[in-house]
Amino acid sequence: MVVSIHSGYVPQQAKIVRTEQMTAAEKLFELQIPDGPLGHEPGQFVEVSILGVGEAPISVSSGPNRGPNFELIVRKAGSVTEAMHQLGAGAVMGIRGPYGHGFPMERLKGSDLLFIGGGIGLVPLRSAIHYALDHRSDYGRVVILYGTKNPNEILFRREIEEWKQRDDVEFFMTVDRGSPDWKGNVGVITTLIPPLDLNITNTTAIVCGPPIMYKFVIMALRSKRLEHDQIYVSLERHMKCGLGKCGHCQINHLYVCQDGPVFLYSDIQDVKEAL
Amino acid sequence: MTAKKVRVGFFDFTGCEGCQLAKVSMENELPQILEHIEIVNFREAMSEKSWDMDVAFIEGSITTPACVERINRIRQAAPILVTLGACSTIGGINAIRVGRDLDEIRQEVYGDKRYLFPSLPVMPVSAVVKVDASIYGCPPNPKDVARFLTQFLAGKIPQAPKYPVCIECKLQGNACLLVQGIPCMGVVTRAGCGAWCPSKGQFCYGCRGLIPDANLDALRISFEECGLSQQEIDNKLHLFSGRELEKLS
Amino acid sequence: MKRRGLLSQKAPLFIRHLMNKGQVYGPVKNKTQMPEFAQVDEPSRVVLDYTTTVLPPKRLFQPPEETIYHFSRKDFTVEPAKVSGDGLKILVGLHNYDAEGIACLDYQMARGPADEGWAARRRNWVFVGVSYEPDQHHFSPSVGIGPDHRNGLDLFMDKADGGYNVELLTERGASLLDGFGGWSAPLPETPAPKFHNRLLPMPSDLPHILARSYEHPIWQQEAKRCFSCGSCTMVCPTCYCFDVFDELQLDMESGEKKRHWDSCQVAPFTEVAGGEIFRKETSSRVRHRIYRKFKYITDHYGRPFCIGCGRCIRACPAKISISEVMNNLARKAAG
Ligand SMILES: Cc1cc2nc3c(=O)[nH]c(=O)nc-3n(C[C@H](O)[C@H](O)[C@H](O)COP(=O)(O)OP(=O)(O)OC[C@H]3O[C@@H](n4cnc5c(N)ncnc54)[C@H](O)[C@@H]3O)c2cc1C
Ligand code: SF4
Ligand code: SF4
Ligand code: SF4
Ligand code: SF4
Ligand code: SF4
Ligand code: FES
Repeated sequence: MVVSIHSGYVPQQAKIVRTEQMTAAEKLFELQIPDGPLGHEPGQFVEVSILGVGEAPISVSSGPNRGPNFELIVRKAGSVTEAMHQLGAGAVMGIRGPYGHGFPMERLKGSDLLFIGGGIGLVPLRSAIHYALDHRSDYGRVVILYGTKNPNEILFRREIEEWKQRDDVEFFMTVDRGSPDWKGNVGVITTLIPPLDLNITNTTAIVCGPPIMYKFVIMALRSKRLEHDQIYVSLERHMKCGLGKCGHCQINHLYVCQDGPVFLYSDIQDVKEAL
Repeated sequence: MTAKKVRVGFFDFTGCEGCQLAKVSMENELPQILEHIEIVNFREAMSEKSWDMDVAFIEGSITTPACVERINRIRQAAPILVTLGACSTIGGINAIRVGRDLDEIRQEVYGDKRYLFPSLPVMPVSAVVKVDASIYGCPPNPKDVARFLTQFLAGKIPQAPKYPVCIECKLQGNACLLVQGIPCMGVVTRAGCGAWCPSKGQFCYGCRGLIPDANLDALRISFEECGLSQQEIDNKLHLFSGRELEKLS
Repeated sequence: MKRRGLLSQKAPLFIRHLMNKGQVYGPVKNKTQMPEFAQVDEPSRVVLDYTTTVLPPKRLFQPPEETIYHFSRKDFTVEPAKVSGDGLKILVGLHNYDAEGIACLDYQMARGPADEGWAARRRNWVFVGVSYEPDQHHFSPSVGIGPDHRNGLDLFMDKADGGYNVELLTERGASLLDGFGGWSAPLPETPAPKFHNRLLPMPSDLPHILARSYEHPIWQQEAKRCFSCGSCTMVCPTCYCFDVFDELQLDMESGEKKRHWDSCQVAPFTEVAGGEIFRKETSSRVRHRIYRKFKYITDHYGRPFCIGCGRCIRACPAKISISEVMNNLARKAAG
């Protein structure tokens, strides 16, 4: 008798239905799997594989209620992501997952939601934003803060216009460095926090961005008197398996791929390697 | 696959010529490789615009102003430039000259005619032009070259490991030579050769160059404990990594 | 407990007998004359009297390098790797601490999504232990694995005067002895082995010592000599980290997804695209390994995740010793 092993690593085929070049470095992929929908929670990720090249963990960026397909937004960062960028509609890539703990959207019902996304950090937040907008009456205010390095790196331009039009979404954005035709805010994302008028007791902040951003955003939220257990963060680490085995994603005793990538800040504030 | 063959040019600089594909004991794989690549020869007199190639493989290190000029021309013509072997990748065994009086070496090598050959300090290709990828080793390991080529042809710019030979040595289950007092360079040397030498009971002499942040102070202590003199330690370190050491200091 | 005497010269016969019952594995001499856990083809090649092996018996259940699946890029087919699930497998010559190391990994591999490779390869084993003479690095009794420890073993060959006393520990083990006629009366016992290394603190104190040592200067002191070479973890019977990679054949169509053991001690272990290394300082990596052994996993496993085999000390080219580190921390905490 021979038994097959490692079925947990076997990817399913995902067909690229549509792609969209979002910026010079970021490309959107709309994917379809045979037994779709994917069945993910907002904030979860998949391992994407390009056979012969490798795998990369990528957040699911679309909300779970947006039809049978799902969307990934991929930044060209190295070999796998570059190989993905070479693929167009009709091509196939491998997908396994979804993995990890996402944002607890059920538990947050009734809360005001404050989304804070830095750069590509908006990509995983977007799935939670979709969820909140698709269940709009379940939540209080929806405030979205978004910062990028410069205007060229702004993602989801069309969607942002829609958010701006809605009167049940408050959207603010800033860029670190402007350009001659940039009319909006200039400055780091933390500058958007002090002017906010928040209902402190009923607000939950959901934060995702580059590693250096967290410390400053959390300080700014603290000075707004938000408690540590009102802040969720999504963390990025080197990942190889997504199954809590390969060890690459550890922060102290935690495994980001299984225990995270979304953590309640109060749960990790004393975890020394977290932020 | 019937995709268009990748056009590859090979260019020799100063080196021992032990790196050429056919010589890296890849005779068996060569026919399969040639299904995917086409080796093109250029007459160097032609203008670089007519050098129609996808990749340039560079063997040997940069030692003269003429080398500098030539590598610049190749770089202009090649969309992707790959160094092959220790000489072109890390300055190689040539870099023994680093730290020695150039005139003295010229005397040794060229005798009385030395002033006809202006020499530069031995440089890896990356000291002069941008290098897209490197095949390490002196000589390169056939398996590593095969891995490089397949990854490359699959559309990946292959990266050599940044961890030391010890990882591969332990995958083989070898008992550590350094622990037994044999001065093995594997602890500071870039992996990728499958711990070729220690697996045969010979110490690693560091042909793939240093890993980033190699702990050289610790290496000196360990090598002293092996009974090596400072001079012997310096020689061992400079054999392949003279150029890298220079950069560090 | 039942015991039977086995004279040294009868040991190969006994192993031959076991080879009729199932596939036998054990410490056999490799090409460099070192004992290494592998399948036994010839009883005389089994080394029952050994100090320790370079790699732990874990290599039988999670090979240093293995295929995860085979693939074809042409039609995107993926074929998972297979292992043979048939028949009884007998591991002879296992030291008692190594049986505990396997137990540690049984625990870890079943947490969360279970590792199917481990689960499949771990089926149908009988473990035959053997006693050993500790060298200057073994400290197993300090983590609760003294010479009389028999957890996880089915039979035990206790070294005695002129041979072994074979202890029948489980029914599975006892049933293997059916049909073997080479027994003698129990042999005179030899004195219990002396250990030359030990941990000063009690096992239960180890996590507490680490709980207050995170910022201790010792990590930086040890880091001065550490090469970040990874040997300590590659030889550790309770380490399980690995790297995943693709290997393509030269036909550019078929290939394999593979994994090989990896180490948290090498700098690129936590590196992400863009170059950020989350555990950048050598001292943070040295600390991480030791916390993994005596705190992080211990906090939920309930016991040290180190079995005191001393392999990491023997393998370390910088002479860094996990027992010495813990003892220094304990002394400083006490004094
Ligand atoms: C939970 C999670 C969600 C992510 N979501 C997105 C997303 O939605 N969009 C996006 O563009 N990127 C995302 N990333 C980052 C993305 O995974 C990396 O950019 C990608 O792995 C780089 O792989 P590469 O082969 O292209 O780069 P290379 O530099 O060639 O390889 C980098 C190596 O590091 C490994 N690696 C593992 N984890 C990471 C990591 N987190 N970051 C970088 N390298 C890593 C890769 O497997 C690979 O071996 C996410 C990362 C994590 C952990
Ligand atoms: S023998 Fe050399 S390569 Fe092998 S573990 Fe020892 S130092 Fe490292
Ligand atoms: S073991 Fe060392 S010297 Fe030998 S091939 Fe590898 S890197 Fe080169
Ligand atoms: S074996 Fe020694 S030198 Fe190597 S990483 Fe471990 S502690 Fe450091
Ligand atoms: S940490 Fe060292 S002594 Fe402890 S089990 Fe691992 S190798 Fe053995
Ligand atoms: S994290 Fe380090 S110590 Fe823990 S299992 Fe992995 S390699 Fe071993
Ligand atoms: S990605 Fe492998 S353990 Fe988390």
